Amino acid sequence: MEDSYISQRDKIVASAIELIGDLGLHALTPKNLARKQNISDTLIYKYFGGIDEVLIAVVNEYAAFDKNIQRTVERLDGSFLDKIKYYADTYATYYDNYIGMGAIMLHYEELLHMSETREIISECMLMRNDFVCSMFQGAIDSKEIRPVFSPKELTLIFNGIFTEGLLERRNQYSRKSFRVEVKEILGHIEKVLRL
Amino acid sequence: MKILIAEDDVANAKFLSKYLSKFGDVVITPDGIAAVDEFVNALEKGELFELVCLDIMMPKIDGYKVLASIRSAERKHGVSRMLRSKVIMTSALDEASFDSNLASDDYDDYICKPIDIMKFNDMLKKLDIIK
Repeated sequence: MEDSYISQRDKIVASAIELIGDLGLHALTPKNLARKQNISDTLIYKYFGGIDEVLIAVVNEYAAFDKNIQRTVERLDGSFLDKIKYYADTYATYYDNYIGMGAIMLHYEELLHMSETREIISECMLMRNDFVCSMFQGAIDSKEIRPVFSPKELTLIFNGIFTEGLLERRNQYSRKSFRVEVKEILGHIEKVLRL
Repeated sequence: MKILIAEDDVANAKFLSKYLSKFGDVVITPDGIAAVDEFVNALEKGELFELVCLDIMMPKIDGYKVLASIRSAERKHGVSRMLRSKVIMTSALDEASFDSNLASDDYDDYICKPIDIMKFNDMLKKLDIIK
């Protein structure tokens, strides 16, 4: 019944994200998608030109909120460190509750090697990195933190927390939430670096 | 009064649920598809959620798509604009980043998370959900 209110296209994309999260990128095939959706393989082609188009839609979905999150963070009242923490918390909460979406981040390498997704994922990564880097630069310039690490190095650490944290969470589902972990680690880094 | 909270974050869902349970029966759904499912199931039984608190960044389908789906379901079931559910969109995005074009005039109000309970209470009064 609810089927008629949610577009089949949106449901296929949601299933694709779930498939990637559960079984990996290689599992994203028309057959697996059709089985998950309980539809025929041919119906997938009614909405997408092929599995590549499904993957493009998945990657677009992955980056869908990036610009608005960045605009929100930029406008926040507070220090650069507060902004970095808010930014981290927003993504950590989203990935904590949407395991499949978090898994996309762990497939960067593969997505970069696919001609269909290379440009989108590369732009998304660069935009996220530039944003985080600019926030750390702001924190150093305004003397919130000691310049022990360069903004670029801090961005690498920040990204490492996310990728390793997401990977670890996928190994041990029962451990504490990713969101809490990110918050704690950033808190420790802040303690060490704060001026 | 039936209230639907579509919210993937457990802490936020609990917070809203605790507050809103004073005013009616609360149902929580953790993703967009479950929210539409719950809404349509109620509608098919002739029940309408008077209030829907709808998160934007949700798993499976986002809040904008959920909103479009539930409005479409209401229209199909002959629910008039006056009687339709009141929908409050919630998000970690600030108001200026909330893309009201995507939600058109289908939503009734918007509140940024973390939710300021006084502001939320005023919103409920303004929407005539509580006195």
